[in-house]
Amino acid sequence: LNNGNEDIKRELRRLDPVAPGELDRAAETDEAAGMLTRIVSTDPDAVPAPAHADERLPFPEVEPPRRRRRSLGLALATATAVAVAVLVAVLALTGGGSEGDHLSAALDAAAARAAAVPSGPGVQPYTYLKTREISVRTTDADRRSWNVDQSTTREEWVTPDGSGRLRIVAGPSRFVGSGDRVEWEGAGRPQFLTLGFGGRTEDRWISAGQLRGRVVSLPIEPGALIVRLTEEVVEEQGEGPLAAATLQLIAEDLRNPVASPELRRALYQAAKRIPGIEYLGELTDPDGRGGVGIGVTSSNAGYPQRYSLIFDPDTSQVLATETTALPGAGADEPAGPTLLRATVYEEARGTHSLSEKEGMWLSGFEPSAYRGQGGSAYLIYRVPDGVGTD
Amino acid sequence: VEEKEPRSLTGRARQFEGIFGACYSRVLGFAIRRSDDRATAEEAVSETFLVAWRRLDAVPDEPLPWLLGVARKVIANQRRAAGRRTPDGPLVPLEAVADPAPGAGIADLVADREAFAEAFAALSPADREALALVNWDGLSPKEAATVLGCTPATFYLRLHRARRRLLKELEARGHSFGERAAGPVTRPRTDATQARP
Repeated sequence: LNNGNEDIKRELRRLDPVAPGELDRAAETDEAAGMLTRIVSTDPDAVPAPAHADERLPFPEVEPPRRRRRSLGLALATATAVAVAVLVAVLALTGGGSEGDHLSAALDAAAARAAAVPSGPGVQPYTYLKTREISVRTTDADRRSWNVDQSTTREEWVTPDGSGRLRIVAGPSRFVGSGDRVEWEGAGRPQFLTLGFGGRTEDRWISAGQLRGRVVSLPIEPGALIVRLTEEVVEEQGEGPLAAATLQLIAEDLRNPVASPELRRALYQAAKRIPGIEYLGELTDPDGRGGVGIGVTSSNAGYPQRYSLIFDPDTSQVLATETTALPGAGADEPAGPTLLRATVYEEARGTHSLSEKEGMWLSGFEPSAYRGQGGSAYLIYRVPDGVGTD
Repeated sequence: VEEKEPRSLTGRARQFEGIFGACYSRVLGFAIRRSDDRATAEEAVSETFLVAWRRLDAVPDEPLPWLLGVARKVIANQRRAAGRRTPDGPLVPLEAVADPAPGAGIADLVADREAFAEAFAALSPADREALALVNWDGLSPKEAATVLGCTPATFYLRLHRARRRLLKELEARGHSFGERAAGPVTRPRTDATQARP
């Protein structure tokens, strides 16, 4: 490797995840033909597209379902509606005090508790994290749309150097309500535009520094921290409302086991500085765990949505983040809030194994992962079939 | 037998089919290189072409950079929606490292390639993106600039800096690509100026 630019180009091309010629005839496959057919079968005017290619696109996942039916609102809004009712009741009972007072009190208390909780996996060499993601999406076929609920479970076994195993179990997708299924079957079971209905499992190794290392460099002064987080959101060219993205970033960093107690305290204090942040009162996450919610309300392509973070006030642990569509002005809008997406932080603990089976050693790929001296960011190791996934 | 189509859709559909057929594989490759898995990549491709279908009047005569710019934002949306727990930017599969060509010096070759892969992976997402757009996606700097939404001059600068940082990472791992590689990346010239040895 000593012949200059041509060597660099050659080695770069060798790293290309797409092999030469691999996709030469991709446009002639049945998959491509099916995609083309499904796209041109949709109404091009159904959803206003961005005016320019470089304009911010709305979250595809949080696009409010069109043609929602009453069954959808009933099926999805129950938990949130109950939570909102609880909030109203709590506010009514507490009587005095503004939302700002509640917000400050809740976050100050969480910050104080966070500062007292040690970070890291304790005496265990690895950290195990389990997250469940739920999304409700509108999917298209034959110029019609149905609402689909997709759940994905994500498990991470994180080593001290930030490398680790990542396992994702997705789906299968389900119709949100029975009415959606009946209508879809009545339409001849058309193939959907973007979603498959089969579940899938993926298992990978993510190399050093990528899973948990970021928080080490974050400031622990709340003012500097919120500026830094906001800058990161902007630099990332992230989509969606800035305040909502910042809130999500705070949730992720709070969940990071490497985050120091000082940083976790600062994160709660920084949350108070998010523009438009509100106290949402007592909320229940999708796993039924009770907590306290804070959030921001914003408009996504004209649809009001609330982005919330739920945490346990007793432990300061973050429980979940949610995106909820709020009732709009349209006559066909649902009467109550509708949960569109949730990330549920289910488990975070120390472990001595990189497998769900304690003590199992994934010899298929683990030694290779430690060959580098750190800094390798995106080496993804495909786990051989059957290893660690039974 | 010519299929009957609604008259208002015929021309639009045909125009779109032309774009789809010409660009599908390139957009798919772009998405695969930046997605966690094939299914997610295909979903991004579908979303991208759906935007093109709905915004057909805005698609330029050279549609590929425009489409890749849309795909880039769709993939960013996917990552954010997934909780942004994996970093964005082009991915490097291990298979590309661990599959050396047969012949003498395989051990050294594997070590070199691993070092190269690690050096590339150690770059920032922005640096990897600049290098990948040219070397993986096969775009000209002008096309790559369109994808990133910057001027060609800015992209040249990004590309130059990315290469410099890649060389530094390689040097940190005990590898050198020679003096020529350390020189600045220049814009293509017709007079074929030679770099000094």
